[in-house]
Amino acid sequence: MTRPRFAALAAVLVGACTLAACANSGGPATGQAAAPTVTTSVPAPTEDVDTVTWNVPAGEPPTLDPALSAIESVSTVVANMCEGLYTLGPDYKPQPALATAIDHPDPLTYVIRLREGATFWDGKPVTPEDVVYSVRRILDPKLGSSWIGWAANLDGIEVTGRDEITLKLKKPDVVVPNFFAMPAFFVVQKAFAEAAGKDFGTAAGGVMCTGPYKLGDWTQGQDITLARNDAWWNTAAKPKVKDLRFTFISDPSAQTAALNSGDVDGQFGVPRAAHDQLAGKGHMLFGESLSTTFISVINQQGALSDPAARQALQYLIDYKGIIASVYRGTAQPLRALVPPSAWGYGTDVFQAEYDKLPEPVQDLGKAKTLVSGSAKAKEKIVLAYTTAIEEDTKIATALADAATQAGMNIELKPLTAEQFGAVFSAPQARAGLDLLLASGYLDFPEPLAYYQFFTTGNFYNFGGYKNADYDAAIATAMVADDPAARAREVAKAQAIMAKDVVNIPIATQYVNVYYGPGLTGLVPRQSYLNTPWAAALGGK
Amino acid sequence: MTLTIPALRARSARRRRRRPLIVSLAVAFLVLIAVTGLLAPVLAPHSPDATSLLNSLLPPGTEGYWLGTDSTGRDVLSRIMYGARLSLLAPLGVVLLSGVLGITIGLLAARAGGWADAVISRGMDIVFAFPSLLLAMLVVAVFGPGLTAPICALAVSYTPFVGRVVRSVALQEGARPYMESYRVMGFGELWVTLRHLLPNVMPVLIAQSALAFGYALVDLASLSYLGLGVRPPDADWGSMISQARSAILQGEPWSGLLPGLVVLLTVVSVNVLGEHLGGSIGRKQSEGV
Repeated sequence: MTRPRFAALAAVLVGACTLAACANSGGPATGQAAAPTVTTSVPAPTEDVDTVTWNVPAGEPPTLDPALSAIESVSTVVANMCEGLYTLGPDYKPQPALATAIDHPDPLTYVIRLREGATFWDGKPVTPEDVVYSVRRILDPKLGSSWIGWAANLDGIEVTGRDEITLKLKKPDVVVPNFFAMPAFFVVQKAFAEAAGKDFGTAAGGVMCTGPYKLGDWTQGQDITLARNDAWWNTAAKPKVKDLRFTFISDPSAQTAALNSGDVDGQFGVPRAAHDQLAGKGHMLFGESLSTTFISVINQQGALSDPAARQALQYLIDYKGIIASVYRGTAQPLRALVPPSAWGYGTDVFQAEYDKLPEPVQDLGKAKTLVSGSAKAKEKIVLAYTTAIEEDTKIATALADAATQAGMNIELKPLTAEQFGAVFSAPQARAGLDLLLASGYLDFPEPLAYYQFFTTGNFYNFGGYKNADYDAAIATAMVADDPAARAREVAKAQAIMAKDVVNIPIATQYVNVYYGPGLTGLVPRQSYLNTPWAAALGGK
Repeated sequence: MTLTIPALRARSARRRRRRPLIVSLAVAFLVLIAVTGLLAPVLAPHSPDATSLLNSLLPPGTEGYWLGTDSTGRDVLSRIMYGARLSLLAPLGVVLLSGVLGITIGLLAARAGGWADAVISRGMDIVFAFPSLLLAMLVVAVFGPGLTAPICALAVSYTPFVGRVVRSVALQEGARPYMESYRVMGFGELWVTLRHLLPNVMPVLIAQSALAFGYALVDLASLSYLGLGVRPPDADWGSMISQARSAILQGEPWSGLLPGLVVLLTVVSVNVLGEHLGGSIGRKQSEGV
């Protein structure tokens, strides 16, 4: 017990003042900001750039194995090194990458023609054997790839020609083709991966892919540098940035300082509090995402067994306040779990049905009426959320207060990121929880990717939701090749789910990116996690 | 009028013992904070948990919100008032618990002597060497967030501070002739220790506890800042600072700065008071009062 604690405490306070004073120079005066506009295009780069330093706020990736590219820290880097059979274009539509065409002669068969002349970084050609090896590698449960889920209906994948592979399904599954552009189909060199063994993807073992950037140096705990692959097959999109250096600053204040000072040139997922500061410095851009923030009913046995209690919950959500204050205008309220940006087909059908869903508006009066008529609604409800996402903490706090006003009793259960992750994998971690406030995103614009989780018996159907009509609509949609027909079935399921209030959608957040004033070319899109986004970046 | 020499000496002694202004200010501030916490339901202008997202981060001086609002639109003044309860009660719990443990261990070591004293003293050295905040974080990691686990962990961590002081004073007092005379008169060791030794240890202990209170307050505020303390939506000064981090980044520091200032002033006040008590006791002992 020594004196310096006084000094330390005072220093913290003085430091806070100083930081605030700095921030004030570029910040607004109140808690709400003017709604930012969504950027859909920016000028193309004209100049080469030697090095761009890019920060990964999620921290240093534990691996660069594309098979394990399912968390942001890995995906942001790997997406520039490894490619799949297809990639997602600016409109989220699939574009050919290592494949040039797909034949779909019957509902169970996909014949994929591979690109001739594509090579790995070491100059060796990409062979069908490499592709089949890469896909099968992910199917090995020992590897622990989360991408294994796509193959629930897979019968087999074989080499069927010099530049051809054939994929067979046990039953039709319209979601499968979307994975051709995902890390589930990212191609690695068979010989290299086998030689590296367990070291594949590590700093010691490295990776061998085909993308626009190849792995240069990886100084663990410090940075990863990628070097431009001048032999990339896609000569029309040759990257302008020669070296791409990744740093791993995770503290929001430090990120802001690094971006402000120019030590770091850019970052996806800039802390919301820094948007105004950085907007005056360089390019602070926002784009429509495929993300969704929602409250899921994960216990339908207790207070929430009464539909009136679930309906009351929906009326408690202060959508207007959440958009304006929590997300500072960088989000849109949602009527359904899947945001409109993820309608990859049948847009007219989806729009018509979406408009019929209840308007997302807080109505404490209706909530009080519902609660007063329901004994169950007055019982304790435990709402879990992660403190790792500050916005979720604010939403949960506001919801708990609104519940008190309406006569409900919501107990907040803040969880660390690790505890929150366990909720999705371990039933015991969900014990005692009634509601889950969570955010997620779709990797591709296929609403079925989310709605199939709520069918009877699905692993992610934590609340044990059962509705035969819902199951039937999803089952029909899963085999409907016709987009309009599929959209009708998905929209039907969406309406059933909304009526049963098993999931309460809140908002879809914009994806954001910041890069310095000397750079251009990069439009923020959700697909940055699985597409070579750095290839679009360059000088102006 | 002329003063006699004894009168002059008496006035001089009173002047010497007059409470310094800084101590009076510290006591006044602590009383104010304690009363504010106690009467928070009456004095606070708003419920501490009442949110209003559209009124978030209002600056101090806004009508109806004298100290502004936090990032969920809660009244900062009301949360500081209610926050005083947990922010002051929790360190008090640490001080009381560590006091009981420290007195017991310290007296035991001093009175038993020999190998028991050596074992207890080395044990205290080991606990003393372990950072209190780290111990509290480990305990929270095992038992989960909340106040009970950190209070117990910090109490254990602070016990050697109390134990050492108690042992030291007890050894000095134990060697005095009056202790020996009680023994000769046939009084039991336990009776002598509790009836005569402990009261002589208490003044030093009170001064020590005042200092420990300030440190415990800072440690608990740090734990709350790290999200390991009180459970939301309960108000607590440390968690208020923590919840204001992003607001500070976006140029709205008040919702974090004001509770931080209250923590700072409270800790300074407690330390000023503790040092004054320690000084007073030292003077009294040296004067043989």
